[in-house]
Order: sequence, then structure tokens, then C-alpha cells
Amino acid sequence: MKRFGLLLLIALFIIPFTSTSYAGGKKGEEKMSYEIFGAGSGTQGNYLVEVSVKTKDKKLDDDAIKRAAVHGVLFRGFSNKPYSQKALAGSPANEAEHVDFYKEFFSEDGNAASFASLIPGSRTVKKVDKKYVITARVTVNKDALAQYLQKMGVIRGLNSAF
Amino acid sequence: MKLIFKLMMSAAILCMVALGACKTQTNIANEYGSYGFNTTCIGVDPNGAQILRTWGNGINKAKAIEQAKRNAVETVLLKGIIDGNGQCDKRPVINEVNAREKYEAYFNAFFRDGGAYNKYVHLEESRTSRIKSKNSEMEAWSVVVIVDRSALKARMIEDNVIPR
Amino acid sequence: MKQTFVTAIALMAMLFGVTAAYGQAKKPTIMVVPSEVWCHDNGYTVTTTNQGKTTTNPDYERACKENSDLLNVITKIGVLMSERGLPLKDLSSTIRDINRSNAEDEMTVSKQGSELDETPLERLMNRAKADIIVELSWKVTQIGPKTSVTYTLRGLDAYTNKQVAGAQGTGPQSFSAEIPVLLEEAVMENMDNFISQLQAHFDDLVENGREITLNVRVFNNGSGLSFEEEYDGEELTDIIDNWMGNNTVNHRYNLTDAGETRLSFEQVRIPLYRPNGNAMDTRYFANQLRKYLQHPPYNIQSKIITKGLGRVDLILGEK
Repeated sequence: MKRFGLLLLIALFIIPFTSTSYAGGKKGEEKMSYEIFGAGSGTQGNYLVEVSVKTKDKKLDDDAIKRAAVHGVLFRGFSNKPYSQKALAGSPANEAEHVDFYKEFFSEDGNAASFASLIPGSRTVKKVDKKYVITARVTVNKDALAQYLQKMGVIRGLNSAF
Repeated sequence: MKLIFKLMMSAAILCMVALGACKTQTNIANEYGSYGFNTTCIGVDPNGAQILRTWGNGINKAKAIEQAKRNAVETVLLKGIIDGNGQCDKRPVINEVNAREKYEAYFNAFFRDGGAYNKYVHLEESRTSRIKSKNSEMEAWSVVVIVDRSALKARMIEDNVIPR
Repeated sequence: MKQTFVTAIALMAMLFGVTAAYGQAKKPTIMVVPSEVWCHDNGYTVTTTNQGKTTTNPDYERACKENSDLLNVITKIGVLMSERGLPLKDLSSTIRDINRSNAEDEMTVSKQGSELDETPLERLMNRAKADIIVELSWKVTQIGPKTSVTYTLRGLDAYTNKQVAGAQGTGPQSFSAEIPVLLEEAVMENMDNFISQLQAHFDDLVENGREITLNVRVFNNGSGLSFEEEYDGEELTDIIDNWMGNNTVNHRYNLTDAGETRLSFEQVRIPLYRPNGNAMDTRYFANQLRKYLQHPPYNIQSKIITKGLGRVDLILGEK
């Protein structure tokens, strides 16, 4: 009884002092590791990109790949000629500044994946060391994404200050 | 032993009570410890007070949060709230050019530790989180505050900083 | 408890999209025009002779009426800018407005009797009062059976005529696509880059004030007034210079020319708002200087002449 009480006490002291680190994706999931490249001229309002995600899960959900594509378009951009575009949100600092918003946006229940679509048949899986690299071509609706983020007050628009 | 146990139980109970007031906190990368993010608009309450997410830097948590409150008031007074959802008044309270410099002595007193600025800003954390970044030199903390813009404006008129 | 209730109401209000109607700085507008180079290359020019001097100027009206590719791409850029929140001033409508007005009204004449010489572009800019002029030009290149389009986009700040954004490139080569399609694709590919440069320009404007040019001149009416005249031991040049220092954002301005009868202030940064919170413009700023000089000990009368959005002349000694 006393030992149980002691364990309970220790637990009660620890619980209030935890904090979360922002990693994106599923709670507790390792920060997604990916590469992004321009893959061609997208239709108007869209970027066509190729995303390669490093993961332990061979059957990684398509939505996770879409989220990686949206994340890359927002915070990294891509600079392989002739398809290069700057990061839509300006820089990774924007992600830190609005961490509350992006935590929800990039979660499994968030809206990030809805701004992208996988090109059917473009998904390939390769085994590298003890992990898998899943590559796919994704269309990201960057105009709608930019409008949404401006509406949410997370990035500035041309008339934000006026 | 029994006494120690009783004391620990009391402390645990107190902590449980305080659990409701413990703030959720998100840590971001250490590199932003010295970064100066802008104050952004989250909303406006029915009285016209501006609900803002604000950032401050300091050598410790208390100083950083105090600086965040100061930054919120200074932004409302002198810069205007450009970032955020656009609901706050984008114009500063004081539109006179170079006002910070012109009324330097006044503002130094207004913004000093424990100065008058504190009356017009308070933390609003019942449903919001804090954000923290800490590097070897500085800490950056972000909190949500409410700034009473109309009261600030009245104070500036009273102190002859802006005309009636 | 009360605070929690207030916050809850506020959050609910946000959810229902409550927006407060506050005063605002003037929203910038844009106008898309073909560049002078494009007009010359494509034969849309008009030659005029004035006092023995022959000048060739772009004929925007004929270009709009005869070139459907131009109209198509201007419309496309306009739609894109509107979606980004920048209202568009239409080139064709502006030209129609100019034609409808009395031609003599378009020539601004000061009481001195000198005409303010305006190029067709300046006349368009004065009429439309657009803050940003986007100049477009393109060339079609044929290599064998393949066609491609090379274009240049320049964003000019109408206040200063400075280029604040630029983009250029060559679109993808095609065997079969129509020129309008190729042109549209070429221009749209780099549009995000162009817009982010415009964004940087607006961010600078908000942070550091709008840039204008202010010229102060002395009207030669025999009164003997000059900038070297002294008031309480200080020359008028220095008095005006000090006023500029006190009234520009972060004291930013540049006195580029200081003579007996003329002072030129460039890169003058004026605040976005007047002290009462209304939007500031060039005329209001110059009027503050005019009022300052009107009072003792200077008692100087002066007249304001604005040219475009961002240039103003203050003529001392004349009303």
C-alpha cells in the first residue's frame, strides 16, 4: 500500500511538468524526414513535386506523403533547375512562430493533406539500410494553400497591412 | 517517515489542484531563443480589447514573459497590429512620426519594470498555450495577452501624447 | 471566471467571422501595361511634332484594340493579382476615360504658364492613380518547328518610378500550342517569385514609410526670396531641412540638390497614417510644410502642385 502510494506520489509530481515538443504528424512520431524536388510544370495554381519520405513503415499512408509535400512547399521550396520555387511561407521560422496552428494543420486530423494529391501510379518503395524510402509525385494546390494560410493569419498577403 | 509521507501527499494534492492552472507549453527549436517574432492578432473581445499572441526575449522565463507583455503594449501604441487574422486595429494608437524618440523620457518611464504599461495588458491563458525557445544565452517566450486599446488611448490623451 | 467568459465570447465571435470596421491605409492598386519596348517592336506607336521636336510614344489605345494576346495576358495577370487582394485598374477603361475627358483638361498648367510635360504613360498613371504599374513585354522565338515565348515583367512603384519587382524567363517550347497559351504559361511560372518581391516592397513600406519626392522651388516674382535668406540666424535651406528631419519616418530623406532657388528632397519616407489615424498622402505631407512656412517668423505663402502619386512641388512665394 505504502509503495503504491509512493509510486502514485511520484507520478503526480511528474505529470504537471511535462511539455510537448513540436514535431508534426502523429503525436509522438519522429519528425518526418523527406526530400522535395520540382518535378515539372504543374497546372496553373499548382506545383508538381517529387517527395521522398524516409520511414520505418513500408505501408505509410498516402496522406502522410501529401503532408510532407505540403510541408516542403511551405517551408523549404525546391531549387532544382528549371523548376525552382521559394518556400511559400517564407522560411522555417514561420513554422516555429505559428507552432500552435501548424501542429493542428499537419496532424492526422488536420487540413494539410487536402491541399495535395498523389499522381496515381507514381508511388515507389525502396529499402535503404533498415528503413524504407517512399517516393511519389504530388500536385500541391499552392494558390489555395496560400489563400487559406492568409485567411488564418499565418502568412502575410499583399494587402495584409492595408 | 510518516510525516514526510504526509507532507508529500499534501504537496501532491496541491499540485493536482494547481494542475488546472498549469499552462500547456510547446518547445520549439533552440535557435529561436534570441529571435524577435512579431505580435499577432488572435481576436478582439466585445469591449474592443485586442487579444494578441506576443513574444519576448530575456535571460530567464520571468523576464522574457514580462518583455512579451511590454512588446504587446508597444506594438499597439506605436506600430500597429499587422499580422494575424486582421481583426485588430492595424493602426497604432500614436500616429505621430518618430513618437518613441520624441517622448523618450515618457516612454522609458512608462515601460520600465513595474511601469504603467502593466495596467493595460494581462495574460489570457485559460485556453491558450505558451511557446518556448531556449538557447545558451537567451530564452524566448510567447504568451497570449489582452491589451486594452481604448484605455491605452485614453491614457495617451490624458498624458498629452496624442491630441483629444 | 469573468475573464474566461470574455475570452469564450471573443473566440465565438472569431468563429462567426466578426470583423471590426477600422480605418485603413490606402489599399494599393495595380495596372498592367505593355512596355514601351514592346509597343515599339510591335508597331504600336504614335509620332507627334511639338515646337519642331518629333517624339514617338507608345499608342496604348491601338495596342489594346488590335492585339488580343495582350488583352488576354493582361486579364490573366489582373485576375491573379485580384485573387491576391490587389485591386486592378483596367488599362482599356482608363484609356476610354482619358479620351472621354476634354483634351485640354489633361494638360495641367500652373499659374506660371508652364505646361507639365506628360508622357502617355504618365498620363495613364495620373488618371488611373494605380500604386503599382506592371510593365509587360514578350517576344516569340521560333527554333525549327518549336515555338517558345520569352517575357519580362517589371513592377514599378508609381510613387517613385522605381522597379520594386521583376521577373523574366522563357516558357516551355512547344510544337503546337497557341501563342496566348505559351505566353500565359511562361508568365504564370514565375508569378509567385514576382509576387513575393511585391510583398517585400509592401513590408518595407509598412515598416519604413512610403517613399516620395518633394521639390521646393522659389517663384521668381521679384520678391527677392531665396533659400539663402536668414531667419533668426538660420538659412531657409536649413530650416526646411530640419523640418524634413523631424517629420519623416526615422528621419529618412535625402537632400540631393540645394541651390538658391531649388531644393530637391528624394527618398523621403512619409508615414502611412496622419496623426488623426486617416490615410496619409503626398499632398497632405507637403501641406504640413506649407503651413509651417506660412506662420511667423517665416510668413511665406506657397502653392502645392502634385504630379502623380508620389511627387510634389512646393512653390514658395506664389499663391
